[in-house]
Amino acid sequence: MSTLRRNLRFVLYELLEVTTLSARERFVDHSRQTFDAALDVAFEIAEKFFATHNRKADIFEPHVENGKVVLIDEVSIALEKFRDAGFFAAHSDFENGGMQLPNMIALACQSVFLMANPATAAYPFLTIAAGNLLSSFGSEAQKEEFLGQMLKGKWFGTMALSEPQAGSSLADILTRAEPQSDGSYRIVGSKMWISAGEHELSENIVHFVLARVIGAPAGIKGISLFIVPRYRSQNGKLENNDVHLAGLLHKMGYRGTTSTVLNFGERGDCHGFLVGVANQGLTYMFQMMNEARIGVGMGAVMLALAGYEYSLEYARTRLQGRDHKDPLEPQTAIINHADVRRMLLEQKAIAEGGLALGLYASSLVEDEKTHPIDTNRKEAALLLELLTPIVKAWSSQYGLKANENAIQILGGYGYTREYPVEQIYRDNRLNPIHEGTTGIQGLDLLGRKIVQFEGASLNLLTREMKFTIDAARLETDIKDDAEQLENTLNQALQTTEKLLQARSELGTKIFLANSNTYLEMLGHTVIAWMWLKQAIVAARALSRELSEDETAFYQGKIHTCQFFYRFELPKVAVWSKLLISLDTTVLEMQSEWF
Amino acid sequence: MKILCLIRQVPDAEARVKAKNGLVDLEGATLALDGMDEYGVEQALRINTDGANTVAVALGGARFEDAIRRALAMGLERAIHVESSEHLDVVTQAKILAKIVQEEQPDLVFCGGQHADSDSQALGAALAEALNWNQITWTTALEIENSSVKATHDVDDGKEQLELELPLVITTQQGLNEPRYPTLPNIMKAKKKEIRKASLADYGVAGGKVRVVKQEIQDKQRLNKLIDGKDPTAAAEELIKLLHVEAKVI
Repeated sequence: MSTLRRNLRFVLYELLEVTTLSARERFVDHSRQTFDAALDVAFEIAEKFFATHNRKADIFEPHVENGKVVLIDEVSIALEKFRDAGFFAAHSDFENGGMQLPNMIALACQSVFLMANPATAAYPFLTIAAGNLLSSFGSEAQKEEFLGQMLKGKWFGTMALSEPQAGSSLADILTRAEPQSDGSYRIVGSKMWISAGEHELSENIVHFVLARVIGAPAGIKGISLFIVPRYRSQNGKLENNDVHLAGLLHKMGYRGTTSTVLNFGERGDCHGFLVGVANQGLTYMFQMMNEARIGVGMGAVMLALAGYEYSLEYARTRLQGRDHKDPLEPQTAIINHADVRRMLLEQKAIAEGGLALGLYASSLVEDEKTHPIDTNRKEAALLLELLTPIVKAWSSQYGLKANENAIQILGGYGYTREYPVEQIYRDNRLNPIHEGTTGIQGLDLLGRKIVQFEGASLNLLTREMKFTIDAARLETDIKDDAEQLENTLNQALQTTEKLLQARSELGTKIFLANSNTYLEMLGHTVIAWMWLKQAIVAARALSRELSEDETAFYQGKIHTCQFFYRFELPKVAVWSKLLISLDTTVLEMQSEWF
Repeated sequence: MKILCLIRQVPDAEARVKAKNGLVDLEGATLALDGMDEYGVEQALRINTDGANTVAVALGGARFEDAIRRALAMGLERAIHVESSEHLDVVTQAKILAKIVQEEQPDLVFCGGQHADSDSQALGAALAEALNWNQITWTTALEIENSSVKATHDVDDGKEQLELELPLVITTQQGLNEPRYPTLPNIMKAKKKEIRKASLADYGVAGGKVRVVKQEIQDKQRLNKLIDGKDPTAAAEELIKLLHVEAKVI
């Protein structure tokens, strides 16, 4: 995990200058020393207790014995260490026993666990996301009963949204909630794909369930959010709350995380507690989902980085082929073959570009909450809205591409289960699917985020990118890249303008027909921006006297930026041309023609 | 009971250390609290569970402060940092540390059994000698009742049980305990704990008596041994033999 360690230092301290947050009242007690200390503990626990059972949890996946879910022992040991160190409350206020870490550092710590073992890390991260939801919208009584236990890591949390017949289309959920005279609700229904929905790792599981109150309007305007615990408090004791495991789902990857079908209210005795106001459930859930989408993007990036690290080490030590044709000459390491370097460069560009973007988005989450100036808070929120689908979808789509390269570098070995890259690929395959598929993200980006507030988000993105372009023009080594990014940005803006025109003249269907291509186009443009930002920092660092290792690190940044600009960024022109033509090939294809 | 824990900062086990101008260059290397010293910190916190009267003592450069903060985040009460980037031989170090022990008047001093960077095992013994105290080295088990200490000490082919009276210098090693991780709330508390800074001059020392002329990094060659896997049992036996006899890691 040495690549992650060095890159976190680079992005957090050099690129995003996270230590400047100490000037904000909330972080006045923090400094680089406290941030480093938190990261050090994350690395230690991740390397010693999470990474060590990543493979085993994949082989011995969860199963049911005598009605209970059984996991390998190492999972609970790892989570105990995570809990004891206080990571459940890392971001939370001091008075709640937390460390009050900035979002960027908390996410960086989470990333360490995601790289070591995403399946085990899912249990606490779902709990943390659920806790944030409760913290934002729960009543004081609900916080007292549930949040404290979740921050201590004694009770875990889940998000119960999807149903067998309603995955991406939450408007069609059927789970119902019947009001009771005591203010609670009786919940009846089935939920599917509920990660961490059942296990014996915690004393209780707090499900956050989307359901319809009897008589609520149809569609998304009639969805409410409920706390439905596995065990409910009654007379000072925890009693069974009529939540039942209908079955475990057997997945391609992420096998260590239970994926469940849950039945609520089989006996008519499942108590649910309304969060906030009725019929506002989806609005509440979207706050969590936006944070979760950044988390998914970072998870994908971490697996891209894991595959990159492994295949890089392999390429440096695997001897195959010779520089010349003399069979008596010793073989050379495969990293000396150009095409292997291309595959490594592509992985590096994706993983480190995605890491910079994920942590940048996280800095916007922080600014939205704690920036002292009102305008900055609002601008951070607008920019974050736009970037969230890109963080989620670009990172998961291209993270997987990075993993393909890792397997390819290992050749036949990479295709076997004796080497970790196939598991990394299988684990990463989930990320373009959950928390909103790539298709949904494309629709969200073009259909909602670009359009809303009269394009204010895109204007902000343009302004920020132009700042970077201007700064890059001052650096001799990268000024050509600055020109290229400016041209690409203009191309993307013209494309957007054309699409918006089509929206008003030709309707939404044509406008959104190629939204996935739009996401690729803007995603690549944004990642190129992230690379230019990194290259500026690297170019400035290289003007100082550095050790050999540090020089190599910064040169690697500039060279990878160059790779992305020469091999990847030109694709934007192709996508732009297709989009501007308002091509309807996909739209016109008929089901019968397949 | 008052306890002093001697701590050092060393390159992390995975740190890439290089030599520059004939000396080890730690710039940019990841440094960590010496694992051997962590056993002493943990043991001190098992004896004084609330951390009271436990003091970390470090003798080294400015970057040692990270190791000191870690020991404080594990739970020690305060620290003394004699800040010096000079190379000091063990006997000189022991003389300075002995003066601190005399100032602080602890009942017990913990010291890592071996330095992770230099492999030296001499500091505990040199300090006991400078103080004219008894010492227990390579300790793997410890019980303290009033002023009486029962300890288990590893020898080549077995163990020795020892009983001694306080005060003592005890050197620690793997097996004594499982050191705790600093918790996030304790990392914040550690930030506010006292680190008293001192210099070599405060202890009447100008420098060490040993001058380091040159340092080199050991060049490790990959052996690339391949084991024929047709017979799994024989392959496993061969692997164990290689790891035991040649690599000496098991």
